[in-house]
Amino acid sequence: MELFTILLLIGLVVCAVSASLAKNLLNTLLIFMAFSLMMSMIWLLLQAPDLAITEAAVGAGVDTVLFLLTLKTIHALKGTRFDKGHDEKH
Amino acid sequence: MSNAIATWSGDYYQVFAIILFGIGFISLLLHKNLIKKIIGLNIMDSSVYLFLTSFGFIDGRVAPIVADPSVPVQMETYINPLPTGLVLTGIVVGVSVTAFSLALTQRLYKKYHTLNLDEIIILAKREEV
Amino acid sequence: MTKNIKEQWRQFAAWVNGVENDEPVVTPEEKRAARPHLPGFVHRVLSEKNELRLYHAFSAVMCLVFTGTLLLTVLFLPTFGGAGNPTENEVMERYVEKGIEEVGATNLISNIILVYRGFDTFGESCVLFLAATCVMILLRKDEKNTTAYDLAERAEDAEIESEENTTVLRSVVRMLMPVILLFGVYVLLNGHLSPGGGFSGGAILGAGLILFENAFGLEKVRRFMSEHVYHIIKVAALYFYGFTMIYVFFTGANDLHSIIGTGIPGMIFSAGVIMPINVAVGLEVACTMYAFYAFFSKGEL
Repeated sequence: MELFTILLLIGLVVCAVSASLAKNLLNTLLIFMAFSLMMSMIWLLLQAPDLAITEAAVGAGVDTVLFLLTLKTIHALKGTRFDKGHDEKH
Repeated sequence: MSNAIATWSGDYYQVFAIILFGIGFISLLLHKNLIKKIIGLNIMDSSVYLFLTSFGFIDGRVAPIVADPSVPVQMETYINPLPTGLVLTGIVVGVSVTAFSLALTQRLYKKYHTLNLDEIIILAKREEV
Repeated sequence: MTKNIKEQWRQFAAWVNGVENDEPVVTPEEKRAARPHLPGFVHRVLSEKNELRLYHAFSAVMCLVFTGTLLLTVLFLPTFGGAGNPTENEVMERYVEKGIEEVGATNLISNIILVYRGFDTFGESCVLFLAATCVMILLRKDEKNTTAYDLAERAEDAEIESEENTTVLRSVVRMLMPVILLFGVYVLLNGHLSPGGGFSGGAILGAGLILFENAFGLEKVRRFMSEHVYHIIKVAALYFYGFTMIYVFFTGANDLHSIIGTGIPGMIFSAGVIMPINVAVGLEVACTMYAFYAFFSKGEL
């Protein structure tokens, strides 16, 4: 069990580093969502099921939706119809 | 030194929480992109919650939810419920802060058409003149 | 050979990251002029690129020193998971051993966050309320916040959405929606018996509403969740919570008596004021989460 915990914690560090190094904002966001899910598993291992439920619903659910909608508004979703150049905006 | 390593390997939750704090802090300092800054802030948030919750955990005890309320409750059965309650409050406040800062980011983008903080500051100064 | 692989890897990385082709808004000259002025001798010794590197290195060193100090502090902290640590004191004893007797919920955490430290959670609800209000001020669709370009973009989005074929999404949502709402209500109402409570249940309900809006559009949601209903629920829940807390604290903060009574611990109707407060908090959180989504995507409820 301790080994699993340490693996999860190392996964958290890897996710945090790659989220801050990724160039594409969408990749950053998806990695951050994985970070939240691992965090909710760690809450379960720390005997805090209330936190696990809240983190899974809020961190991985609502937070990600808000970030995605922001990315859509700022035209950062490359390769979709939301990706527009600077010229069209003026 | 070997003493320190023994302590760190025992307190691995706190050590990892501090490493996460460092990662979040440095991405908050060095990134110019506002979205990356907000994500760094969120990582810092999570690390502080992890640090706080790890103090409530006690080996071999279970979550503070009483299965059989007819038996008198013994303190030795359950972990400390206080840090969990405090962190639960913190998570929801963290979501509010994230939503507010994302809304501000959207407005900044609509005005200046960029997310780079340096460029935003230059453009804002240009407007003042 | 190695060069070829490197080139391919660079192309692959560019493909993963999306190719950057944005034109700079700010010219490099302006950037150079706006840089913070370091002391003169640094200017003379270092080139601009190195100056930036110096700033980055300084930030990294500062962060490392900070992290190292914190790591040293860990050496003096009590052992992780050890029984008899300073955190295991009379406060925890009171909360754990007297909690069921005094407040009545078998989930001891909801005892703490909703009654013992109720004002803390009340402040948190106010933070949620304020955040929703600020988001509304910043992103609401009116003549000051939106330009003609934004309106044209939204109209284009709406047109594409109306033409989109969402049969799969709609049938899946029709099947999943009752289950999600049932689970949310279960978590909400069982907050005093099992893990969960107002915040997690409300977040699940809000996520269900967001899914419903995605599948069926804003008009369908407006039938039961217009802006008027949103304001009523938000304000009523907050007022209810505030008055309940005032009542609980005036009728004896130390003994925590209330007219509702603690009931039989473990039953669904027990634990006095906890279940009504959970419902109020849950409604507030669900409305706020949906409002965040609606203002972020459409600019209106």
